[in-house]
Amino acid sequence: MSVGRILRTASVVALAAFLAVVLQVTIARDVAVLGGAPDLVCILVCSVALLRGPEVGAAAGFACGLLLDAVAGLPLGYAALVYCCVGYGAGRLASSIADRAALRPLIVIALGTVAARAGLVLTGFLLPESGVGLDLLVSPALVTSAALGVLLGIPLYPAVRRALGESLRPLPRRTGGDDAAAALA
Amino acid sequence: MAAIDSATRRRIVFGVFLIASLGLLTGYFRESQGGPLHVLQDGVSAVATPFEESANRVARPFRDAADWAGDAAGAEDDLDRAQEENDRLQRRIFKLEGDLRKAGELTLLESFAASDAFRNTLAGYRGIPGTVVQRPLTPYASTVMVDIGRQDGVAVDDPVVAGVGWLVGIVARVGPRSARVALINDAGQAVGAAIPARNAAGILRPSSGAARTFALGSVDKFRLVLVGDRVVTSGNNSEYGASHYPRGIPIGYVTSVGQSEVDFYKQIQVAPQADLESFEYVIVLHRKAGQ
Repeated sequence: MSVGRILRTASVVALAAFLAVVLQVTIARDVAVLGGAPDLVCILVCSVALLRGPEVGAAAGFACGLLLDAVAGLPLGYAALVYCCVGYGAGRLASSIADRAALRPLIVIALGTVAARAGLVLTGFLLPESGVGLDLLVSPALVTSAALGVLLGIPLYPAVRRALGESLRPLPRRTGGDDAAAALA
Repeated sequence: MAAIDSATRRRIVFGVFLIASLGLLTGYFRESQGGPLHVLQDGVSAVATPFEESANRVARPFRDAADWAGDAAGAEDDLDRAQEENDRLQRRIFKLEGDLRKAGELTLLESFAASDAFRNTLAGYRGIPGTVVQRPLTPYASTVMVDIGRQDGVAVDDPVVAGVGWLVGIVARVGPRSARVALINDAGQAVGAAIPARNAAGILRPSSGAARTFALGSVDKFRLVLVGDRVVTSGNNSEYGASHYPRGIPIGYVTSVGQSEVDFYKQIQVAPQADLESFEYVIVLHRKAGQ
């Protein structure tokens, strides 16, 4: 990846992450359905992972999660750990789904949202004095969060794609462990 | 040295971030409240607070509209009949209702601050009004952030009330212009509580089984406690140390009472009076110097 491309990705992710985190902690719960709110941070991380591959996805997930931890008063590293895994997983998953599948981003965002919420519950359950119960794993909020993520992903994924300077043409099919950057080169 | 293939490099990068996350988590839990990670977190939080206030300001009309729509849904039949002729009036009502709801909440708080209860029970305290600017939706913690901080006189462990003086939480962290309030339904919270009518006291904790319910423990099973009894802060010290809550702040009502032969204590469930998920204005009770 060229230096210009790295700088562009970093600046776009930094700006979008700040926006997503601020909106996540202030107004996301206003659109909650059955306890499930849209996970804007997850949408951003999955979008970046889809467009730039698992390594950049993991980095974006770590950075966005860390910012969310700091702003929301969570233990530093808690959301960073979860979103880092989600970013990496989304990048890996994206490379295993047919590139020309029109629903690929939405499938990845939906699965990423479910994985992020489950990860936050599981990690929270393991942390001391968290009070997080595993019953949250079978909450309907898991489904509604994913559905809202898909709905918001429809406009947000193309926006992230445009901001990162990717063409709207579907990416060439990637194989094996090659990341998106390698495939585009 | 052989070049690292992309799969190995990818795993290394992922591993580095995983280790960094786990290292941060470990460091965060091992250090004290004044440690570098906590200080860094407070700094970032302080930078984000003005943006959160702006986002809330922008979102407020939409929230008001949603509240109005929610209220209107209950009276759907009536609204259907009057919909067309009332269109213009409803737009006005929508705006006024939003203003009124907020004014109502503020009035409740102001009346509490001016009440005899405040003057008598909380004579040694100063009320600092604030607005909720952040309400994170995470399974980990139950906290809100308010727009008042150290510069306004807020300090850690100050009790926080809403409505007509209902207890909602305690200041857990404080920044220059903002403070994080741990709500009483946060898993780590324990409040010394009493049932004045029965001369009974115990420790109130969030119930692990049901949301919006608290368990009042350590109440002797030979005490008479009835459903509907009022629960307030006891102000008693406990095994956890000195109580930060002054005596007599309303918490809620007893909703169920049980006991068994083998237990020393009653099993009492309490419903809070404050709606912990929707209040927008609070008063932080800060102990006056020398009190």
